[in-house]
Amino acid sequence: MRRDVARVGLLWLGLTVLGELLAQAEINLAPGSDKAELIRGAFTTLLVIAVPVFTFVVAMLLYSVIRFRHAGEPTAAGATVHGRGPIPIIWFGITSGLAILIMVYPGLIELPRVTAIASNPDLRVKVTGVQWTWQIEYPDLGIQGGQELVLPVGRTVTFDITSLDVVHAFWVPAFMMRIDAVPGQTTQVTLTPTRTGSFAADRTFRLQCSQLCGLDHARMMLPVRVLPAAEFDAWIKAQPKAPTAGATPIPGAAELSLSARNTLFSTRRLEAPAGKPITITFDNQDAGIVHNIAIYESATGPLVDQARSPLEAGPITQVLNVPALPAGTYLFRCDAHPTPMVGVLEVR
Amino acid sequence: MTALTRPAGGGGAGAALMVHEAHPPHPAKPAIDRLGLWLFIASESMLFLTLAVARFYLAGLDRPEEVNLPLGLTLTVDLLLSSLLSYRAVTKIRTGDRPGFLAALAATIVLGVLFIGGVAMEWASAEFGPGTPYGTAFFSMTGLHVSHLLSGLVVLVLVYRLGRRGSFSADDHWGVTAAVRYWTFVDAMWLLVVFPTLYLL
Amino acid sequence: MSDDVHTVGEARPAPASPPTPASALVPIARGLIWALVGFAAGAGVTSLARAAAGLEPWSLELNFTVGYAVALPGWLFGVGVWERWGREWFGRPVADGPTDRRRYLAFSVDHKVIGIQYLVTFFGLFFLGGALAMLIRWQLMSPTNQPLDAGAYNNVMSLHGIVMIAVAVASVVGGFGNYFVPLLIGARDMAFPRLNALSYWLVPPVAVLLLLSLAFGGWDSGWTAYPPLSVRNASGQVLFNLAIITFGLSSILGGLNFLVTIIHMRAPGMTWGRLPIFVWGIFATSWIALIFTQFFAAALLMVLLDRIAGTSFFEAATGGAPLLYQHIFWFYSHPAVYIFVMPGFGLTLEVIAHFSRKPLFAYRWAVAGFLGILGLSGIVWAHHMFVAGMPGELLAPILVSTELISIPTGLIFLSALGTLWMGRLWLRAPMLFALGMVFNFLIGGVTGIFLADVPTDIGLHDTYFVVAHFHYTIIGGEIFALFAGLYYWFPKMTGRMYSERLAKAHFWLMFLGFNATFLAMFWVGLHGMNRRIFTYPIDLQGPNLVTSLFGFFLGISFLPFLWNMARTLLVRRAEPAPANPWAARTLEWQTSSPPPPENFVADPVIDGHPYDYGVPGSVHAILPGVGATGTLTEGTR
Repeated sequence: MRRDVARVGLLWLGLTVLGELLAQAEINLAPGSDKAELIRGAFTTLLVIAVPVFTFVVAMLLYSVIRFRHAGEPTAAGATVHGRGPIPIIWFGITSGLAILIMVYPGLIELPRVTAIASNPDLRVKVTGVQWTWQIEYPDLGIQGGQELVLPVGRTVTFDITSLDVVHAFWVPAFMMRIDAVPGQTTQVTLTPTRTGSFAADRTFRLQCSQLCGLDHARMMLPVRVLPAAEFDAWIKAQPKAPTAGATPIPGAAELSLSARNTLFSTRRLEAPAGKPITITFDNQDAGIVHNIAIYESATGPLVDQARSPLEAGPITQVLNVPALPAGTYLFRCDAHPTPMVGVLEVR
Repeated sequence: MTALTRPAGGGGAGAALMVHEAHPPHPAKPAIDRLGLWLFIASESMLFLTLAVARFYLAGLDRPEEVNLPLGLTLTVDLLLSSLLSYRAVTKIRTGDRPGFLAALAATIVLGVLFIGGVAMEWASAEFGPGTPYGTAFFSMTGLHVSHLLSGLVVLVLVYRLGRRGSFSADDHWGVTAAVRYWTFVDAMWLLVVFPTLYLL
Repeated sequence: MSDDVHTVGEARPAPASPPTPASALVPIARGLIWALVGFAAGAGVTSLARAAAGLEPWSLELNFTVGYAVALPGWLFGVGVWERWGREWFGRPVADGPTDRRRYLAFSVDHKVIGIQYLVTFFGLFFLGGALAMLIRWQLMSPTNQPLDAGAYNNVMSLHGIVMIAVAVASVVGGFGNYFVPLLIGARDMAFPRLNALSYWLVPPVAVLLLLSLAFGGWDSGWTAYPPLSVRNASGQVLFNLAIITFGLSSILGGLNFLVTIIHMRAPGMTWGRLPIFVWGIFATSWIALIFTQFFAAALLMVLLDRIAGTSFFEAATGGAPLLYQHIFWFYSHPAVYIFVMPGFGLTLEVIAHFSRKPLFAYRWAVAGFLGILGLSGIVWAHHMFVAGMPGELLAPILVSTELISIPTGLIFLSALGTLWMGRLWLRAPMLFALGMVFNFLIGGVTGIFLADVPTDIGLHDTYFVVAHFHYTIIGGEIFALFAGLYYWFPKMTGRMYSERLAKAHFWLMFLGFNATFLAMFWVGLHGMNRRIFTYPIDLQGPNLVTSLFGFFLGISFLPFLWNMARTLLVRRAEPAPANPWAARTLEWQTSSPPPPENFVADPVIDGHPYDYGVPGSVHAILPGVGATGTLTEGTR
């Protein structure tokens, strides 16, 4: 019996060494935020502790199956031990100790550090989820983000997150942080990006919805770009100020109107004269469904300066004032439903 | 011979192999029946508990002024009375007094029907709708309660019918006891959960 | 041989009444007809009431719900509740049902028949769920070249989820629990045989509703059905909710039946300390089913009310709270995973003891493990909500309670490993699956630690890491145990012996295919693939392709199993199985294969522990007229 114990102990040791070595080569995610560093550290700690637990059971199983195997139906019983002695007590003690250990560290010790929210961050970003896109605002800077989330490296960012319809979740894989976006509630995440990156080069730099939210859940994402501080400041300066809500029609402007019903615009074609401001009256008739109207230079081009109304749930009528445009063909669409709700604005 | 592949005894409900699915009653049958009913009641009470929790989660301790407390109190008294009468029905059959048993049971049923009428009045006259936090709690809790009460009434009516035809005796009246215990549970749900949660707190 | 068993022993009483002529209609047909009648009545009354109130008479979801509420009792009464039970309430005599093969399609009150009904039904559902899984893996082989569009994928994924959840809830408990708990404790049947049959016949409507939902637009909110999405989506959601409420009722009544049976109907001498460990597993499970299932039903009822009755439980705009649903839902759905795994643990320990020919190591500690899991199961639910936006004060306590649950779980492993050590291991198919279960659940359990820890959970929640974790615990744990039980008890239920070669082939293919598939899945979750998406960033295609290929392999691994079953069950001549092919000591092996209707020829008496192999002079059961059970060294079986 003692030889068996020694042998299985050796097997356990060997497997553990192997396991710990393999564990070193595990996840190769380069953390992209301070919180990600903490999470990665916690993960590694747990992995280091988990390996010997795992290899112990595997060693016992492997050894027993090889050593105590009987070919064919056994003709006698195995050892008549009942386990009423000290072994269960020792086992109980060790497993309880391990459970308490990981409960305390990384558990309770890292928990407040990872979930801490900075009430005075360097930057506040408002993120609003809506089926099936994200609306980004920088409220202190008076800027609305476009179709991407741009952030500065090395600065503390607190995100205020909510939803306009169903439960979504804010998640950026590179930052390793996530929190649900709940209608009627604002949830928060604080983090400091620790390296620059962009979706074009690294797909973990994306804001992806991580809570099943219906049809286009899989595609509910925005690219993320983390810029060096100076570039970020320049980017901020270059952004147009957010249009004020509830704009009044400009006198003398060309007047256009359209509506939305059943997630479709009432027309796919608008016309306006060149060189004159345009006032668009947009009537969202879909109760409880969020639409807007936004004008783009082209299908893949940028937003026309200030030409976007806020994403709001119907029924509601919005007035969007667009500055005078040179002649050309522009694209208008609803940012929440860009595929079905799209059309052409001809300016001549 | 396998159970799955060949018909036992060569087809049909052959008399040669009379297999009975009903076994002679287990010696612990009374205890079995009692425990079964208690466990069922324990499980059902969880439903009411959940809705009560929802009430406080959604509406806190708010209550609109239009809640009809006098009517609520009347309904409470109605159910209390019906509980007492249902208990009387059990004591009557326990002493073999069939007419007394039937009368008490009938009275219980009448009070139960009146209760449903009262709740219908409540619903019709409620000035708040289901689309508010309190309204959500109110209509769902009273609705859940009435549906349980209705099932209890159906059972009481069945017991009444069987009692009229001569079932149950002083020694053997588990059906009556069970029906009354369920009825008392439904009443208790009103008294301890629905009424305080909606009308008092 | 079984013919003789029917006539030996104490005489059976004369029939209660002359059998009524069998209805011309098969019970299922009768049930369907009365279901349709009930549906029409319910929907019709609703329309009349709405018309009288000045509303549009037809409101799909409301009319369907009321129609279903009347159709369900119609189905139940038609399929047999009336013929075999209800007539008594109106003072009329009740006759016995068919005794031949037709009883498997009828309202039979014999727990062994019901057990087989559950097994066949849930194996069928398992393969349906598996086919859906193959479709999902086909979809995910590539992010662009795909068979399904977004909407179809969401429906397929949701259906796969709930079908497998249903299998996890009811296959071991409903199948083996029903068949073997009465046998293991020496009883003739369950405490409430007719309630038992009713529990089973609640299941076909569930399957019908889930499949029918596709005709109403399906539902795309997953099996978790979070509102507000589940309050706003297609009408198939209503059928899902009704299906769950129905299934919940079946589960609750089943749990009730087991509890009363185990508490009151143990054979004389079977103390709690001599109860077979599988029965302990069912006992602990049944408390969860009884008490917690109501919360699942309540949550879905609330969603239903929001849809059809104008309440506002979960719409934020009118004062509702989406998180309320999550709390109520997970309050059941976490303990539910112990419904999945505790019968599996019990079955695994049972098989390990018999196939190691050794007393079950630390039996009392194993029992404490089951009870500890039961006790803690109710206070950990919110670890599914660490990132849901609930108050931060809840995070730490739930982290603590969740980590604690690893301690009683560890006691199960203690018992398993201690029993194997210095045993005489007979590595037949049941034992292989039991060992596989221990290995797989080890991985499942250990990976759970990463999800119990809030910091790491924040990074891993809603990724494929979680998907791999729960497939390891549920398939790797419960389904492997299900197959261990199937091969173990196959000879007892059928009187025939399966092919050991095919069974071993099944094991090895399934073990390898399963582990390869889901290990790859951990990797892709760690690298940023979230759940429930029909397409994904192109750089994740490699691991997804690998997972899919191994997944197909896992699907194929069931072919030896199906072939084995077909070969053994469908041919006229198959190798007959003796009463006790494993030379095991527990009660089910001390009667014929299959057992007679009353289970035992004479009522057994218990005089010792079930697993005391090799203990001199020990005896578990004494059957008057048959002899005592002992170990092999004592010669008797």
